[in-house]
Amino acid sequence: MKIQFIYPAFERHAQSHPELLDAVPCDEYLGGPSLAIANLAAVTPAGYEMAYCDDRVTPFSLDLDADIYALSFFTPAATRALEIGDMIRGAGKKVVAGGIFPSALPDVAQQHFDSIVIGEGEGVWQRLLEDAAAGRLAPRYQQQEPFDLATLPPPRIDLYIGAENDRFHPDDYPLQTSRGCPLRCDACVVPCVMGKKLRLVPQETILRAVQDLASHGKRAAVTEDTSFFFFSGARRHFREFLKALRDDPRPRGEKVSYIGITMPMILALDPTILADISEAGINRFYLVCGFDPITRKAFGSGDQESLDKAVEAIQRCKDNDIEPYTSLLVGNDTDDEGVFDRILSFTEKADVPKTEFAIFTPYPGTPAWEQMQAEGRIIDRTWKHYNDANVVFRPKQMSPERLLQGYLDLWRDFYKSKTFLASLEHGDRTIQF
Amino acid sequence: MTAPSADILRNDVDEIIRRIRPDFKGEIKVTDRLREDIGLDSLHAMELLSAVTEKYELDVDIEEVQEVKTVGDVVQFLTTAMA
Repeated sequence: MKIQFIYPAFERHAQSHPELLDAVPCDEYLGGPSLAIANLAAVTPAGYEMAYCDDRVTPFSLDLDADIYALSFFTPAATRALEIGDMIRGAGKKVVAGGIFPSALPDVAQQHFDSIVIGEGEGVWQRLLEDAAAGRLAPRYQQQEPFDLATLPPPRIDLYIGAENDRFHPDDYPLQTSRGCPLRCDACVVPCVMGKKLRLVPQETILRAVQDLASHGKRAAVTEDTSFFFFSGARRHFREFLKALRDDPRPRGEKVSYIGITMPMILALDPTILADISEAGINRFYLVCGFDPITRKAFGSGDQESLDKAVEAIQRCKDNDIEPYTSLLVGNDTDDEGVFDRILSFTEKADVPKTEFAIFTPYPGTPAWEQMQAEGRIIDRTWKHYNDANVVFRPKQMSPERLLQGYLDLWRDFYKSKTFLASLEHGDRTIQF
Repeated sequence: MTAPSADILRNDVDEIIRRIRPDFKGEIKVTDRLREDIGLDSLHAMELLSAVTEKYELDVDIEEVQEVKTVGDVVQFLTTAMA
């Protein structure tokens, strides 16, 4: 039986707004896919033939013949994913889907696939394959208990690397150190998809994944900061990971491409953790702004104390020899039209070297989505527009048009004095847009 | 792990508070509220708990520390968790 995995395409900022390519003197960061397919491939029993299509690199077509097709996708890719599902079913083939979007909006996804998987897929994957082989696919599969991560093999990154070509060859792939989170942050989808209990990926599995990546000349991208918390021993677990990285002989910046983090976390962290991160050879934070109280107050209302804290957070990164690569978000309910000037002023004051800008997006599965649905503020359900580069909701303190214009102006205004970036080495001039 | 004495726990908590809030120069009293008296925001409080649970190798869930409001509560929580 042949399984054809598909990672559907989605629009990036510069695809939604091609004019950014002229305004921003940087290279685009084309990251690897989420780990979902690589994790499913890792738990696929022997005897199945597997193939992988990254629809961003080589658009999917029915020429890729298989017995069953399996998609994993998040909301930005949902428009294309649903189209692919219809295409495959129209050809009389079986197609199943899982991931963030089908988990958050199963009734929407269900209309386009023979089966959908809600939540984590590993625990139900084998049963789904057996049902498919027997011709009795159920409409939905959902594991009731969280998947036991002690039984999780390292992801089959080799499938992704095999799909690379001259145009698309990420130098990093995601590394998962935990799943689930007990917090309820309004823009986060993790509790909806992964559950509310923080579970840790065993240290040996993490390190094997790091070694797999290293053997392909790839770095690990650590996108989450729940690893820093104390829940379920996460802090000890993270410190052990840093210690192992310190013993990895690769040069600084070559082991982990970045760790995702927020400003309040940077300011609250025990200084010894920051020192350990730096000593482990990690030299970049992906500093997500606009979801936390400090940056919401600093940029939304211009609160001076919060602005000072934001500048202090940037300085704390620099003091530890860690580049603070910021992602600056606009469109919060606390943002009035002054937010754009305040953000630009902050980047100057904090001497932010390079950055990306994003528009607040209420993703299905988050508390923000539920709230905006209840308030009747969702104005666009074209899922490919849910990519942080379009306004899909009615902002509280300005028009959708003003928010979009302000976002585009931020890109132009910030980068007009940064033409020197174009002359830097690829890694130093690469950003996500 | 054998539970250290309340005095040792108290000293450790004081030391960690001063490490994560170096600008707090006052005396730390057992009745001090983490937020109102010492000025720890919610993430600083979480950081304090991260540091003490790391030091004593405790695995706790967020629900177990919901009622921790004062320095004395932190010490009591540690004493109970290690009993």
